[in-house]
Amino acid sequence: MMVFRRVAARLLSGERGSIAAMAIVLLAVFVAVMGTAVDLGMMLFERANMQNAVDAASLAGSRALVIGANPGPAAAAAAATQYMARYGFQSNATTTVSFTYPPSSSGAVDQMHVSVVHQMPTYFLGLVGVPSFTLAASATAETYASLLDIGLTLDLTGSMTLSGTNDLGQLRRAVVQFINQVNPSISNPYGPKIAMARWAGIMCGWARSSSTERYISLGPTSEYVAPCGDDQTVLTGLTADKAMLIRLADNSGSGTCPPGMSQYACPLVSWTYTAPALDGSGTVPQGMSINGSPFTSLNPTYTGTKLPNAISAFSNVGYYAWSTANGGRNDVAGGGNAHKVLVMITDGNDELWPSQGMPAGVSTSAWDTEVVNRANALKLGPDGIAGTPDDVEIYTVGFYCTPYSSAPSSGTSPNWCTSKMADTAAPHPCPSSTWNASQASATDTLLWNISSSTPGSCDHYFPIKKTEDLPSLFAQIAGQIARGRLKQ
Amino acid sequence: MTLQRVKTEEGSASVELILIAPVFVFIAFVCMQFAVLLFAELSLLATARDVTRWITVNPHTLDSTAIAAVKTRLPSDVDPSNLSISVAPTCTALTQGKCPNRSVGSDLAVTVSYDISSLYFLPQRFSLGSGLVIQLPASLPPYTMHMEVEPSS
Repeated sequence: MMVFRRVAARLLSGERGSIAAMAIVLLAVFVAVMGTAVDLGMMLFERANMQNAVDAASLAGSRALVIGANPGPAAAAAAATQYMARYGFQSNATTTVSFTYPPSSSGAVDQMHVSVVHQMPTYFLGLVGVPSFTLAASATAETYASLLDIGLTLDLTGSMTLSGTNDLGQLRRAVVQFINQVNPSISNPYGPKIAMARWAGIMCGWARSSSTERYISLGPTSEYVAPCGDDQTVLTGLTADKAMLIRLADNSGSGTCPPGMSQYACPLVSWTYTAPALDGSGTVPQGMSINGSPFTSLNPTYTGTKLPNAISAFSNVGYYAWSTANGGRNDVAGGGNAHKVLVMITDGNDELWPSQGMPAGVSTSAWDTEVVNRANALKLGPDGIAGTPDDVEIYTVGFYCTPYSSAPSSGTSPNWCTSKMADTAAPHPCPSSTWNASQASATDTLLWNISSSTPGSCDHYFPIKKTEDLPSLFAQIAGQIARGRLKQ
Repeated sequence: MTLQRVKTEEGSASVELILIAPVFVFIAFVCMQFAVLLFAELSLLATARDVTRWITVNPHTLDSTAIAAVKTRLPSDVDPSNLSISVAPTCTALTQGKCPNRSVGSDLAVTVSYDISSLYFLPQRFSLGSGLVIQLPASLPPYTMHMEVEPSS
């Protein structure tokens, strides 16, 4: 009993102040825990900020890989660096930002991987020998075309053959490049689809004056016999059949040329017009003359340039390329509502050909007005309301000979070099975030008006010289249409 | 002698505990308060990211419409009424169905801030004597997210 009392007394002898002593110890622990919590909280914040930075940087970089004036890794690195800097991350003693470009499954370099490693200083843990945390974040992004319904409307007027440069070869390669970049696939119902149309001018009947003189004009102002029809053909409606699309473009690959299209495409050609025999003889016309003089300097069987055909080929009373019946995706509740796009290329301007006798009321100025009106209507879609899912976004490509000439085009002296903007050193004034009217010709202004450029900008208009690389430009447009997405 | 000492110190530990306990309870509450605010801060960053991405792929949307739209998509822990969103460049009117200055490839900055007054279960203002006043902020620091404008949907 005495022993127990002695032990108890010894144990109890220090009770006074024991809680205080314990509190001091615990307080130190609590303060350490709070300090750790603050540092860990700051670390979590910084980690999330780093992830936001690499996400934004990789998205911007992946787009710069395939779009812009000089797409490629250098542009991608510049874009990504700019975005990383906006979040406060630049390569220095405590931060390492790095970029790589892993190839996609198709082999194309269209992905960008951004990683950042950052030494974040601690506030409290430094007191216990942890002066910093090593944080890392990374992201990979690519541009991809998801639910996109794209119409390619191609100017295949005579100038594409007659301008003296390899325009058709360029266009074929450009269309193939575009198709490969967009990469439709039958196995992907939620992927992109492409429709294709070709167009030129206006087709009329040529009149015949006698049995000995074939298809001639009837006088100084009459080279046409109405009714006239628009020279336009839908080569294919919206399809994800990539092989068939490539076959249409350059006749390569394993696809099948759609029935009846071989005279217009497979590969793409400038189609010559065979005038009907109006006298009922059934004679195949051999040529045409102007006021008794046969055409010799220019092939008469091309049909001029009517820009409204670029729009009406895909949108007319009897056919609307983006309708569900023609392969468009317009199902908000079900499979999805596709983003609708029209890419139009022309190398000319509205031009009557032959030059005299067009039916009454037809003029190039009327066509200029008509194409803008048609484009504006198409932009709104069938419901006529901006900002709805049926809107169609229009990109225009002006593919022009140089040097620029302001001379008016005449029947025997056509002037196809009508883009002032194309006749500038690359990068051209458009596309850009600013539209500068003083740098534009009437043709530039017309194509800009047709495009869906953001007001004040010309981000949807792409003028280019015929000596420049059209396939690269088409790849750039494909990249611009496509969005970025994060892969990891 | 020993017995006398036990008698005189009996309960002193309890007294000390009662004196010290509020301090520890307070510290514990501070830790919990910090956790709640940190959670809100991380939610704000995630929200900023989602909001910015939505607007970059729907750039031609009026700011008022866009903000109303994204507020319907917020995670449950973010109260829309406490969230403030500003977008630069602003879009207060559409021109030909588009927002000027939001061309594809341009930078879009979205700044979000969050009113955390309702998240405080501790007083926002502590007065430690006449000279030392601690005023906790009513909102989280604004966070700005940058992203590139992409083709509209």
